[in-house]
Amino acid sequence: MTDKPVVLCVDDEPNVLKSYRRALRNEPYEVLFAANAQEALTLMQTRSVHAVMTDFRMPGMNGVELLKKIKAMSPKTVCGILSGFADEATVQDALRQGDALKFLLKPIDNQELRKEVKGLVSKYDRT
Amino acid sequence: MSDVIDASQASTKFLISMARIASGDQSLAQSLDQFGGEICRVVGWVTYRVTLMQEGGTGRSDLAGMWIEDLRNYERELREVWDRALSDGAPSFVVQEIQPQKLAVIVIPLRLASKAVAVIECFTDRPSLLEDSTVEMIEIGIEQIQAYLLRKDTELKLKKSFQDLQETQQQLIQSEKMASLGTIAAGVAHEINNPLSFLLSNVESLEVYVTAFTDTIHEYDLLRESLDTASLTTRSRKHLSQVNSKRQGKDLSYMMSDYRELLRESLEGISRIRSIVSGLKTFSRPYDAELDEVDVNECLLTALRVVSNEMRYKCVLRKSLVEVPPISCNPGHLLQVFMNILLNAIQAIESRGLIEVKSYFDDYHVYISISDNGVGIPTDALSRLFTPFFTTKPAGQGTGLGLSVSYGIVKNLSGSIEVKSEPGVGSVFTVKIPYRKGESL
Repeated sequence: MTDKPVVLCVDDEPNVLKSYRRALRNEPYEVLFAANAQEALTLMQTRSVHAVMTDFRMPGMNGVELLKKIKAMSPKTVCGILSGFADEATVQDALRQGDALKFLLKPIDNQELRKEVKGLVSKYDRT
Repeated sequence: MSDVIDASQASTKFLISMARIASGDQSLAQSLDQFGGEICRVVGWVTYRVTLMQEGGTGRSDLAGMWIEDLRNYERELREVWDRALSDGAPSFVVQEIQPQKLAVIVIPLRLASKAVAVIECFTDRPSLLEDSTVEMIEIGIEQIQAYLLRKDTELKLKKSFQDLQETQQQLIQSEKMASLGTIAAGVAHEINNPLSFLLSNVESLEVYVTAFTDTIHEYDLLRESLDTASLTTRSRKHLSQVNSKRQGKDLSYMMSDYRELLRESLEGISRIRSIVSGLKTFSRPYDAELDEVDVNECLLTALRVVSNEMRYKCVLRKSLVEVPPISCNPGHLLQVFMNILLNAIQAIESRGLIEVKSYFDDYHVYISISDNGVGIPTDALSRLFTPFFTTKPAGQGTGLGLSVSYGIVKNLSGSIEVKSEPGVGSVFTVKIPYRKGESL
């Protein structure tokens, strides 16, 4: 059992996940990666995750549906969603319903990514 | 007997002449003048005059043929004859002796859809009774002229319909093009976003790595310089000489001093791609759920503030803004439209110039016009102005998307952008947006 906060990144593009790995390399978290929603959910069955960053458009289950499921299985996990379109209606709904705390516009640079992850982790209620 | 033959010859000649004029190619005014002349001739009078009543004023030809003196003295009498001729229920023409035995006038009103279009007057200083055959000639002549006027009017209406149709067709084609471009743009933007994302991230990571390498090489340089070569082992000396030759041969000094700029320029390139993608997104989705009641004047003033820096040294600004009804739209998008047009205007001015912004409205639309006295737009560029990626700027400056995005935004509000331009004189962009909901034109 590690004391470091656990962050889960979900994206269907392996290159994107690798770029997140590089960007978060020196951050004080244990970073996990999943290539699709199913993998993410399977992972979360065995690990408790503090923060999740997921892409919206993914094959199979999309990011919004994933977050709904995460909220059901692990309500304390703080979630952010990434999308290329700011006015995507489904994403807006997810924010409204509280499934996602933060919306992030792609493309995102390293500095911003680190800042946002830090924000999500800080919002995790450790009580 | 010869009288009868003469009369019939005269009438045939008259009819042929009238027919020839009616089928001729000349302008309305010219035809009416010729008609007037023919009638005067067949009646055997001295002089004639044609008055055209048009929207925008009356045009009157000079008296043809001989002058009749003191016509001005008979203004009042002439006016009475006119009134009679032009009133409803009047005969097809009116003949009147104004000055008994000295001056007579025939006033012939010509109508189109019960509105007087022109008046032909014939004058004589030797009045005599008009013969029946002459009256008949005049009446036939009038019929011919009326038929000619009707034909001319129909032709004009037809031409206008055809023009309208062509314009509508053009607009439809343009819309279709834009719509399919929009779909493509959305797809392209989406596809580019992901690789762009990790490209950006990786270049930043690369900078971190290379800085680490460079810093370490600095330390190794210091180490190298501090070495006492005499005290080295053979193996160490060999490695040292290899390090030195690599250091020189691969020109590390240059690379170490250049890499920051290299990465900065790469990030600039990525940033430009980002703007293009952003432009493509707005272009393909000019609609936004976030609608607001926007005062276009406020929006325009904001846009002016944003571009004030670019304007400051080059342009004088003139504003004539009136209070206009608010428009339901996305304020950010409208701001983009104004900024795009303003930046183009500023760019069109080479060293010093004037930019004028106006706002006004009518029963259905709010208008914003932005004009400049810059270089103007050549005709071949005018038709491609709103085409995506069309730009007259040098490579690397601007995305060429500004106007096409603006077009999409305004079109989505059921409005339009009109451009008038003259090379060497300047350009005027007029944005027209309806403000009454539910009433479309």
